[in-house]
Amino acid sequence: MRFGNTIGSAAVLLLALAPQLGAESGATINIQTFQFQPKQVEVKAGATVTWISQDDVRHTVTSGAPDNKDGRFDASLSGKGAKFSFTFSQPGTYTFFCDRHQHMRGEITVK
Amino acid sequence: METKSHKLTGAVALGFLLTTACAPMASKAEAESDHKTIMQSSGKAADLRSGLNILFAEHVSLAASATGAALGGRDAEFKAAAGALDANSVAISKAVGSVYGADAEAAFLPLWRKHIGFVVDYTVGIATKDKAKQTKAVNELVGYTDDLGAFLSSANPNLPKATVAELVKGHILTLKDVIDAQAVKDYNKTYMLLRTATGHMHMIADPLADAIVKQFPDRYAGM
Repeated sequence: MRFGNTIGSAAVLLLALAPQLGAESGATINIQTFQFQPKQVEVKAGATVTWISQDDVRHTVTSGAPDNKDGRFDASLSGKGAKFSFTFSQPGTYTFFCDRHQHMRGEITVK
Repeated sequence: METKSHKLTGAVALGFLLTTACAPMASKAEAESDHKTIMQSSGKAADLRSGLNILFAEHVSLAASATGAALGGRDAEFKAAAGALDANSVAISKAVGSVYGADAEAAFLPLWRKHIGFVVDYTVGIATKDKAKQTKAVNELVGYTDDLGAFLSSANPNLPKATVAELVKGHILTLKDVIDAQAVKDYNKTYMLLRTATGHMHMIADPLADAIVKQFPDRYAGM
């Protein structure tokens, strides 16, 4: 009986933690040949997204759109191997772009 | 028919660009040997090279037509030349896309158009005698060479960024010379410099073609 209660508690605990465990997996977006790859990513609330540049030139990862920067993040990635991470705690749709090459755009959906 | 012709032209032009970019990496003898091998063994590689050459030579010719018309105040001619120049930009992008895919094509076109915008800025600076605008445009063009070098280097490891940037810088400077001559209506100088600027494009198209063939030998092996 007591053993059964323990299993039950453990199951409840795991269920409670499940969304957070999933969120921790995050996502990686490569920047290569002046493109965000992939351009669209879907993650859970609390996930961390990391951008890694493979290009030998400075790019930025800037939140919003060229005509409407929202100020959430604006990272300069100096060249090949440079990284930037951001944790998305709230559900929603977040757009981003490169401020130096404004055709480079992407979108993150946080569930 | 027209589409097929453009594709072929694009492929040939792209091959030419790669060849020139690779040259500085190997000894002159090696480069000449590679070049002969490519030209003799593969019709597809030769098509790529000549197609790229045609596209890049056309780019310079149309750019000079546009700047000449703009400086001469011939608006209708300028618009027509600018339209043709943009069609050439699209064709060059399609050539890039034929090798590296639709995403690369979509990324290349705005990057390529960007330098044309800077050339327009420089020409406006000349026409209005605005030295600050001229200097800003030249600085932006020189900075742009790094971007194009990085793009092609990222797409093809056989194309060193610095080499591409230097070759593109040569394109920008030779075209600038043409614009400067157009501005003072020195027509003899304009057309002699236009020959130089057009000739320089071989130095971009050839290495680009060679680098593509080196990157995808199977694709360009056949006749």
